[in-house]
Amino acid sequence: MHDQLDISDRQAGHSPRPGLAFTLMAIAITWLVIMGYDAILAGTWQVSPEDYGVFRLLLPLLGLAPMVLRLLKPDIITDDREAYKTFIRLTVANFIMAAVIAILQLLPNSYTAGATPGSYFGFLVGRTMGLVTMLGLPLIAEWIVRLFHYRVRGIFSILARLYVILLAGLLLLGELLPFRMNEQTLESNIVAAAIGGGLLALGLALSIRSGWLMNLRKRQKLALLGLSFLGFPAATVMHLMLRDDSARGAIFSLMPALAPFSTVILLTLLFVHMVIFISALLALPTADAIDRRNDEVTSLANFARLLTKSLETEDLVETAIALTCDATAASAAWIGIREEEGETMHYGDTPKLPAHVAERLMKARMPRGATVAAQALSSRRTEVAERVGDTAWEENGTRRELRSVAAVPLLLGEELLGTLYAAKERDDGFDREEIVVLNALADQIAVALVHSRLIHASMERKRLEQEMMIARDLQQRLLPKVMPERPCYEIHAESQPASIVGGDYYDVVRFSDNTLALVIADVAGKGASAALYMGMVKGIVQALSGRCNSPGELLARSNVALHGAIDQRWFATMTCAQIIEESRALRISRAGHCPTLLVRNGKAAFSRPNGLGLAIAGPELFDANLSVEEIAFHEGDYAIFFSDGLPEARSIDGSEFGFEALLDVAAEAAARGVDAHGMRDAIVEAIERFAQGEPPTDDSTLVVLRWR
Amino acid sequence: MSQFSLMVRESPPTQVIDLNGYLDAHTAPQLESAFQDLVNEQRYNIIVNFRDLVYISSAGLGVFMAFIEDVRNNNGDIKLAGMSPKVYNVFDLLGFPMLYEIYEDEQQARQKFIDSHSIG
Repeated sequence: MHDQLDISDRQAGHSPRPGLAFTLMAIAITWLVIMGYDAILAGTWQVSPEDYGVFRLLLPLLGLAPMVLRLLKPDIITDDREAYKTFIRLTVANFIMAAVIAILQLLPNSYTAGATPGSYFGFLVGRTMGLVTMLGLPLIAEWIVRLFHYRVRGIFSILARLYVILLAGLLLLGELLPFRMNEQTLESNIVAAAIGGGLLALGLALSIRSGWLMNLRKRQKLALLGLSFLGFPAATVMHLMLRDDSARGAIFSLMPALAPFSTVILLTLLFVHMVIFISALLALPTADAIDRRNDEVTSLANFARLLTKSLETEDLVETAIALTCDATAASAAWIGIREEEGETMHYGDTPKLPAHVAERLMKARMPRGATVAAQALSSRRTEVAERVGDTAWEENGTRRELRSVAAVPLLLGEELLGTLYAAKERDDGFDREEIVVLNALADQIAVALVHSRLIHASMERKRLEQEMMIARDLQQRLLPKVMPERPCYEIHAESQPASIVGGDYYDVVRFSDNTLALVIADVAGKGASAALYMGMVKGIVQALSGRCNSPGELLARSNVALHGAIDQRWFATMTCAQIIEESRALRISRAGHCPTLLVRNGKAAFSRPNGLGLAIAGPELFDANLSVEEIAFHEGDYAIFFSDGLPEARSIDGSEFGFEALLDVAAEAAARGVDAHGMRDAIVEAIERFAQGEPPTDDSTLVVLRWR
Repeated sequence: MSQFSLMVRESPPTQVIDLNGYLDAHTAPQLESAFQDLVNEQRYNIIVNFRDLVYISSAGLGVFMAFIEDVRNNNGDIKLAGMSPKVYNVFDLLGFPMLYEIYEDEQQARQKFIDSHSIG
């Protein structure tokens, strides 16, 4: 035995067992076979029970076996409504059976146990009554058993099982005990009586569980009341008819097993009707309230579901308006949503409400003088205005009027998102229950509005992120793909923005005399704006370089182009180093940029020629303060250009890497004779060790030139 | 994250802006409104005291560049004083000493204002 609420059972629905049609067919066929057997093999209308051979004894059991199997594994009822329908089927089947048998009873059917029938017609009538009963009882039994198994737990689960097992036992006994048709079958045997008594007690206990009717609609409860009221006498009549001797003889002479079975089932049916009648009667006073409560819950559940579907404000408003009217029986509803410009009214499409009527309602005066809309905003609670005048209009020829209005603020935490309005035709507006519902709806609407907003913001953010990624890609492409490499020197260069895009860059330009020069620059600021200016600076420098033949000239011309190009506070720093291959020399000019780190003969030092930053001052000041340094190198020497992201790299404790540390790292790496990439690694690793996981706060650029 | 504050005080004939903390893109607007207020009140003898300033970014530097022209056009000046070596280095790399008067001490800056006004 297992708990009926086992999930696997639920999901299975049916376990393998005989179909209903098959079961009824089995009984009908058995009916035919037995008739045939009696008539043909025994040569009589009716074999007496005392003369039953083994075959004749077991035949009915075979025919009833599918029914028993079905009873042992009944279909699971999944909800209250299905329980309700099962009860209706039960009662209707009972009516039909009772009606048919009553009608047949009226016809001549002379039949007593063991006697020959008076006529063929009477015989047929009797046998038909038998068939009807034999087909009707299994159905009724099955539906009763299903009801008993509905939502059953613990002890009742055991009792429900026990009921079916005892039924099966009773069938067996009924068939195997040789008792006579005209005796009261139940009392004729102690065991049978005990089982029968036990079954009736169980039937009573199990039928008392009628909680399933609690959540039905009021009209369904009324239907139950009516049906059980009629079903009670119908079951009684059936029961009495079946106790009648001639009927009994006609019906049960073929399958005596069904006799005690029918008694138990019909009495159980009686109990079930009685209990349902009383329960339905007791449930009527609260039926309206329960219906309303369930409607409210359904509304809110619906809305919660639609919440996740509606992303557009208009959809949301439509849904909210429809649900508000449903749940509170309001005639109209509308929502004011707060935006920067003020509150925007959303009326939805249905029901059609003229704007001036809505205005009038929103401006209805409260007893303390404020309008209902303003009052709701200041008190942050639902306010209701009653007996509002001047709110009539014509719609399709009929006069309509809304005489009371509720204003419900839409709040999420402290933030006021708008107001929900609901209006009724009644003078006295909304009762306490309806206000509770309005508040609950308002909460949901507020959440939905914020949800929609967040989703849109998130989508927008995603879109911007994608654009940033594209920008990042493009910016990386602005950097030279390949650095020049010659027999006498090699260059490694890289640049990492602090955020996705940045204001640092490096470049290789060609002067008018065809010499190459390195340019490394840092535009003021970080992020997207710096990236835009970086592109501009690169373009200008590239364009100008073709007309220059020295770094000083390039910087001076660039300063002219950039000074005043953006605004007063914008500037850029730059170092330009012309490569003079023949003498392994660099001609360096510096416009406000970080000094260049030189490692010569194993010794590290900074080169810091004078120079103002670009775009800070006009050409007079800039040119006057700009100098050029020409530096000679030997094989194995390094020139390292970087931006301030490196010396300003921070550690967890807030200290900066500093310029001096760069000298040490470079000298140490130079001593090991690393190549350009190796020098880069040494510097990057030293900074990473120093930073201890702290992320960079500024763009970082590093260009290493090694002479070889 | 960026801790920054400033205070403006009278030190006749000048106004002194005391800076404290980190001057970067987030906090630069505070300095900007301080300058704007002084310019609105036509106070053009301005000393910026860097004694308690820990860090300055390009956004911070940009604020000075935004107001210097206007102030100088009105016969005033923005003089800088009391920088730590690190902060001075930032200004120095850019060549600011060519454009602005930078003093070790606030009093030196104030004295310069007094001298220039008595001459003029």
